[in-house]
Amino acid sequence: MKKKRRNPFCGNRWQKIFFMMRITVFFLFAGLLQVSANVYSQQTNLNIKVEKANVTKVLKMIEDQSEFQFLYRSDNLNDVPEVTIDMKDAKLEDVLNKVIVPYGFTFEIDDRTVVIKRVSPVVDTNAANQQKKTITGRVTDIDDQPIPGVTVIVKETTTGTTTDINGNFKLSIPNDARMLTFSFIGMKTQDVIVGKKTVFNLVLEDQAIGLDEVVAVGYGTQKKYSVIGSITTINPLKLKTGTTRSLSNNLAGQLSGVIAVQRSGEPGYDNSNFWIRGISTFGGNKNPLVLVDGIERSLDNIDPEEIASFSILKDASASAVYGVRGANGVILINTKRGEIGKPKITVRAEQGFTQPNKLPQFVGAADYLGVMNSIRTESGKIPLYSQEQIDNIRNKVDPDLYPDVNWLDLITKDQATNSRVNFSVSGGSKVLRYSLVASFYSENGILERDNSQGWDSSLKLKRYNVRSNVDMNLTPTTLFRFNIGGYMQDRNSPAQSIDALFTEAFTIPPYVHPAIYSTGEIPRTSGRSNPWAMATQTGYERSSASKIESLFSVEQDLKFIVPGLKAKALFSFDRYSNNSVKRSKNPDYYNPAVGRDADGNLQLVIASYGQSFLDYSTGSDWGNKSTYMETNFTYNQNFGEHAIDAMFLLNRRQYDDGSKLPFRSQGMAGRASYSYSRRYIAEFNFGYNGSENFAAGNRYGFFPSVAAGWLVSEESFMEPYKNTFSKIKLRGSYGLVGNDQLDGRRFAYITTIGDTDGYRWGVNNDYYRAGRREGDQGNPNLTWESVTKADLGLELGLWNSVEFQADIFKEKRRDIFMQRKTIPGSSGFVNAPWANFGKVDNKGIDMSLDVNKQISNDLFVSVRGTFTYAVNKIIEQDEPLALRGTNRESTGKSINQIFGLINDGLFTDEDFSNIAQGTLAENIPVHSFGPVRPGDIKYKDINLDGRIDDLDRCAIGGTWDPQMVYGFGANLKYKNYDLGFFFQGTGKTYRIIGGANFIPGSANGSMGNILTNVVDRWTVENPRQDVFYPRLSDYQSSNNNQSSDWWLRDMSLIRLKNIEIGYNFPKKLLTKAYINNARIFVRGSNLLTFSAFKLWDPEIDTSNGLRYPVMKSFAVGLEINF
Amino acid sequence: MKNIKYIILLLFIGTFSSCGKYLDKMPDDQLTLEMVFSDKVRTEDWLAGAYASIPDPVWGYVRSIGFDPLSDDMAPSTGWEQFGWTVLAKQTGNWNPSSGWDPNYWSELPKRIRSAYILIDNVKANPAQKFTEADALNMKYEARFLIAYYYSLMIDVYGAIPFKPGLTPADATGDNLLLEQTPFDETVDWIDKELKDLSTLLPPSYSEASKFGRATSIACLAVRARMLLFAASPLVNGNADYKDFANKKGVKLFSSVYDAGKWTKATNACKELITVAELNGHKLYYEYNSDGSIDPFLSYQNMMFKKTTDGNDEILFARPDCNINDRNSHPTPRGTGGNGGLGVTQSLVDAFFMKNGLPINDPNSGYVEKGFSTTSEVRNTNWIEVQGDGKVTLPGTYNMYVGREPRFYISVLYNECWYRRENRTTRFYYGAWDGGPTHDAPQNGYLLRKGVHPDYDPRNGINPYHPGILYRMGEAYLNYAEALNETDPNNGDVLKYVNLIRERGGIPALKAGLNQEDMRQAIRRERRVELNCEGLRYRDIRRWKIGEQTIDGDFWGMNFSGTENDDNESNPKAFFKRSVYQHRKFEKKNYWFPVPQWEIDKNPNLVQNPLW
Repeated sequence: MKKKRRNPFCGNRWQKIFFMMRITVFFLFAGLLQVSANVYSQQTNLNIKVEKANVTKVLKMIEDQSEFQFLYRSDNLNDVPEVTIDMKDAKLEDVLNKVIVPYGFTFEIDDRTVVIKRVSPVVDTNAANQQKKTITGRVTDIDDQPIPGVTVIVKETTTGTTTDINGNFKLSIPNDARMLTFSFIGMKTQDVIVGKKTVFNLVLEDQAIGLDEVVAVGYGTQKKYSVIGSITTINPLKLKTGTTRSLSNNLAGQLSGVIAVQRSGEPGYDNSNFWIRGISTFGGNKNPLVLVDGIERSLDNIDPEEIASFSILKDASASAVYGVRGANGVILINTKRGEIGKPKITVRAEQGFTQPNKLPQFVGAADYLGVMNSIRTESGKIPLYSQEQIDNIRNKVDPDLYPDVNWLDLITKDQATNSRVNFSVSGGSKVLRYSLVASFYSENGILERDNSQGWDSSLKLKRYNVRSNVDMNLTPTTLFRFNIGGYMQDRNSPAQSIDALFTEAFTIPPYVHPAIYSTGEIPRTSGRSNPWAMATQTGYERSSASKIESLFSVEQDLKFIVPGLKAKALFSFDRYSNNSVKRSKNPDYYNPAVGRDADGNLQLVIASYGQSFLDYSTGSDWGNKSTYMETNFTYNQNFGEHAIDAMFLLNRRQYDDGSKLPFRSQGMAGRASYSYSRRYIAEFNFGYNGSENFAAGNRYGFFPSVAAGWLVSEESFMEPYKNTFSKIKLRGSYGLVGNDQLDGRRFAYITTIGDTDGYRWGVNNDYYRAGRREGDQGNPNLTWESVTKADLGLELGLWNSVEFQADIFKEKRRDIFMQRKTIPGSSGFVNAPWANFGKVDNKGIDMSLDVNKQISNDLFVSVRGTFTYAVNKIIEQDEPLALRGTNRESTGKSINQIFGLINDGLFTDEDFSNIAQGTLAENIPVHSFGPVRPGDIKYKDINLDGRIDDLDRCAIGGTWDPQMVYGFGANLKYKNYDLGFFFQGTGKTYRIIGGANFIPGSANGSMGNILTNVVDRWTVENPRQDVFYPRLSDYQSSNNNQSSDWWLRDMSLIRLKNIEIGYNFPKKLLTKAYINNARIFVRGSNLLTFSAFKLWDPEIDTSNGLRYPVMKSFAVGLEINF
Repeated sequence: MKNIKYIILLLFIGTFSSCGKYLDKMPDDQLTLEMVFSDKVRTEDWLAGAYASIPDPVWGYVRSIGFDPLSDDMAPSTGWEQFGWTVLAKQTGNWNPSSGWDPNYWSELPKRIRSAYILIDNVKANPAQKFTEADALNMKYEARFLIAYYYSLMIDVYGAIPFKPGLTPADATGDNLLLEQTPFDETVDWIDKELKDLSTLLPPSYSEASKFGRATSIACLAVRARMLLFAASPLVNGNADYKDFANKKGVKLFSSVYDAGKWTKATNACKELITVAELNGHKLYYEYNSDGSIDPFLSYQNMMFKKTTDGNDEILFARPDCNINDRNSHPTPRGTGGNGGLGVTQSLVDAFFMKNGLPINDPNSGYVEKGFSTTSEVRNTNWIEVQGDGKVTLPGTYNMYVGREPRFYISVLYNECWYRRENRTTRFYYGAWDGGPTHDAPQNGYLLRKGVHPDYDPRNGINPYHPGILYRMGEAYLNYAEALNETDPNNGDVLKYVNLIRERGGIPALKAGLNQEDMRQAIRRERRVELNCEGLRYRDIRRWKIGEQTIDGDFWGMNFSGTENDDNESNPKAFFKRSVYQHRKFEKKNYWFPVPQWEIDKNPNLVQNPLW
């Protein structure tokens, strides 16, 4: 069967489904065909005049004149003789009755679709005599989406039907029918034994090579078989798994080639950092280009429900068309579009309960003071805290004077919630199709509020998304598209930075004062803060962000000029704005009580005057806007075994964020792809684009790439092994891409005047002049960073159920834009000159494995995994000569390599010639950071100069951002139940923990909390080497506080990112409510985390555990399709 | 309907008809040097940028530059180290060439110098904006002053520096870029001549109040006098320690031969400063009692606070805008709304004379350390901080603080001292209002009072303005006395100028007849007291080569963990007993700051300073 005309928006499988459904219906009931009256066909008049023309030409003429579309088996009409006709104002039926009906064909008109079929004898002659039974069932894909239009046929008969729009079918079959065949284009055909069953629920899998399946590539789509760039796509459903706001939090481990980490769980600021194939520059821009519907946009605030396809372009072949913006890889997201059919409505609601993944645990006040006393005792001083004070705390005597406060507990709740509601409706006709998605997301944070206040300082966020995509066929060859989408996000928070709250909760010790005195005064140590008061007594801030995204495009099929040629013009504008309002106040703060007077009243002195009402101030409004224009031409034609696919485009973007001048870029891009016999594919891509950042002459760059691929499995010699090797594709690419984003510099060719500190003169200090001096030296020769990328890939399909894909890559980045590092200070240059100097190599591997298997009629299993490993190396960075070749050299290491000292265990008594004086024995290198004693960290003298100092720092561990990310999971479907889980892991990620007050005693008890692992420490009585803490000291020990591998931790982790159990309600219950499908599910996110690091969640951005944590969540949800 | 196709096609072609110039936009408001110097305000902006590194003596010497904590005067709370007080690490010897030093003179001052040179090359009159030729010329002189001043600051801490006056071309390479250090004396000579020259070109003062703080001839002479005194001092005048210290070309960086002529130059420069300054009306600042006698309390206190327009003629050069707020809050007791941890050392407390002008270790001084007073002590003063009426101490004051000279009470806030604004005595005890355990507490039992305005009130945001004095007459007198004692010990001026300081300080004059060495020690003691916590002591310690004696070792104060108003040595809870709070380090290398490691890394022609 041949689809006569492909809808240009073939990315969408649903359109295909609808087409096929109709076709199948007609063929199955060929014997019962009746020509139905049709309004369109009755209204349309045709003028046909041909001489000795092939009948297919006649049909084509009809198509060109009208909106009719013909579907037929191409080989069928071959034996129809050539015709000569001349008809005016004829109806379709008349024409067809003349040209095909006489030759043994019949036709069926359904609106604008016409199916032509050979008249065949009815096989089932004695149907009436047979015993029959009725079977029913539902066919879905592996993501539990119903598949309409699936052909269900009793094997070797014509008895059959197709599934309806909800994937359901009902069929009357002979009692002795033995086998049912389920088939659908692009899916693997399945045979199912009938037996005694009457209900057949089935999952159809994608065919390993969906020959006509298309994949989103740079500026367009390509047939999947012909894609030879390194592109990873993911079913958007897989991105619906997390319960957090940002889509970026669902990427890690799901997509091979993406390294992603979530560094905070704070509502509104919990976006993950992500890189494609890791970091490969120390220059300004490390982030991939994200394109939503072809426009540069953020992916963080898109609701997963809006997404129809998600791809990442990893190698030069895939991203060269983006030229100077493609260096860091590209993410392509397309939003959902409507399909022909009656309105399809989906409602989905989900309610989640969240909980901090892991917060650090601190000791209470009594233990705290005990530790402080023992520190003093160990160093020969008298303890500061009396036993009476400690006992009073322990016995909770007078908590005003003997408080025991866990500040972290006090400002955080144990649980919070989030919820999400999606509503989507789509449908349309051949002329007009629409898709509407509306989403609501809300999240409550874990910060406490004071319910006695009239205002609400709690942390919460609400987001409303809407997106409407409309496609309209202005003429049969002209398609107009209109997308509009946007969101509004409101956030409410305390009038304080959330990070500051966590920092303070760590900083304030548990014993200094209570959160609030029983008499109502709020204490605060001078110069410090009261974390509880900060969180709950200082007012609130609400901020609101909104974004509107639009896109208009017109696509014209130019087949009337050259078959296969299409042109498209696109315009888009986006606008983002953000504003905030702060209502804040300070309460009266009192110095902590020093005791009680004779009457038993607390002795309190006011420390600072507050106010009882809230101030009002508006934050600054900020925002940005951008416009984008694009014109492109595509050409796509087959000549026998040869297929050519070409694209050429021009584009232009303006982005204005209120800078002096809007940011502009423009360029052209092109692609030419040739494939022979669907086996050999070659492709050439280029981007030619410009950046305002460089001087005329250096402004435009040409970024070419080449790629070649071989589908070994399509070779004839592989035919015998087709069942084993359903797909073998080898591909390779090589090319150039660039980066024009400089580190904080624009118009790098212009010399600037810089701002510096001003100065005041005058007896009254009132003659102020803002300081100015030289800024950056302009460099007319500067140009973009360039990256050559090489990629070798293998795609392997096995037994029609296993899909394996692996890529190895190597990138060489050159001309990284950086400031010279070897200009001495004595020269007086304010800013070291900029130059295209740096070189970085990056290499690695990414792979993915997918297994889908229908084990039995009731059981379907799929398993998948991804693995990404990328490691970079700085080749050149203008490092000062004196560092080259020493342990301090960072050239030759990875970007952001951690440096520090190397410990040699803890000092023992034997290391000292005089312990009391702290004099080290002769053979021990001098430790220059500060006084040392037994139990302090001993360091290795790396540069062998007899001294331990900063010159002994060397590379330790690796980098903080992981070099390895992987994920694996499985889905099982059994009858109406389904179960899915997914683990995600990171590896090769390190961090030095510590920081101010981290080591107990660092502030002599006036700042810092003490982790419960404090018992694991070196003491005089128990001088162990294998401890967590070295000797504790009152006040900071400079020696022990140095960055060293003593404090280096491996932050690798494996998380149970998602686990989900679902249940589909039985059909019988639903039909009465006009519901096609309803599924209820429970889901857990981040429920388990395995890591060698136990003190806090290893992923978040903190060296002492005090940051808004990543949340674990438990959610229940319901999805209903009408 | 069919024609739509063609219309659309035309639209495609039209879309990108004008591509060429799209990226050619350039910011039209980008300042150029030309624009800066054709405009009075922008020119003054540039001048301000060149002035900007003039040290802030009020807070800079405390925290970022840190000269006072580095000396044996000042004791910021050791718990502040984690708040960026890197000077605290340096106090205890945690100091190496890679350590940061906030002002980073080595890398930062050359930028200001370069700015000043660019100004000299470009500044021009703009009569329409009333910026005259004379104004432009004066600005060039100011720029030259700044260049010389900044170089003097650099040699003051680093000794020998890469010294090449003029603009480094943007494309300089090799030896033009990677300079060696120049011998110390060469730089001194250049600065000396330059400042001498400028002192004849710049005015001694400006009639416009708005130009207070701009460079004057007096400022030139003051900088020069201080520098030449430094250059004559034992550290760099015949110091055998540096006899082998040479740059990469083998040129010796310090002369190891004693040169008495350096003292002569210093003496002359100091004399010239005093003469010119006095001619232009500069003198010590005095306040008087109603009986016409000098009020030493208010004189010494307000010398720091009064503006020139309020009759403070003692100021020779000042930075008008300083961080007064931090300087006020850090020594203010925490129980009264301050940060309460910036103290002074016991060493400074002990340095103050008794009211009879004798040091406490003089058997005739009448100093008693132990015990508590029984009556208030009344002096002839209008100072009101201790309940008014001339009260200086109250009954129950620890005897160590009784009967001391006026400058002691103005400089030091001790435990159980009356605190007027709060209407109570200070409570530095552990766990009391102003005391521990927090680091915002006097860790050694003292807070600094000098330079904290009595009307400062953090709760109500009152923070009275005063300029930051960089050079004052009091120092000029002591500089002169010191230099003169080296060249002409019998000259009566030596005693005259020391006694002017003692008179204003409220203690009896020194008797004539001291030998040169005794006089030298007397002058040094006087400097210690008079100039305490003004950023000068650390320089004195270094140039006198007394770091090992004065800084290296234990530092003392009162008992931080003391909770009782008691001086019993055997009572661990007694507050009033001498206790060690810190062990400090001063080694031979500390006489100079290290050349920053990152500069040595970049410039292979540099040598590290001795012993670093």
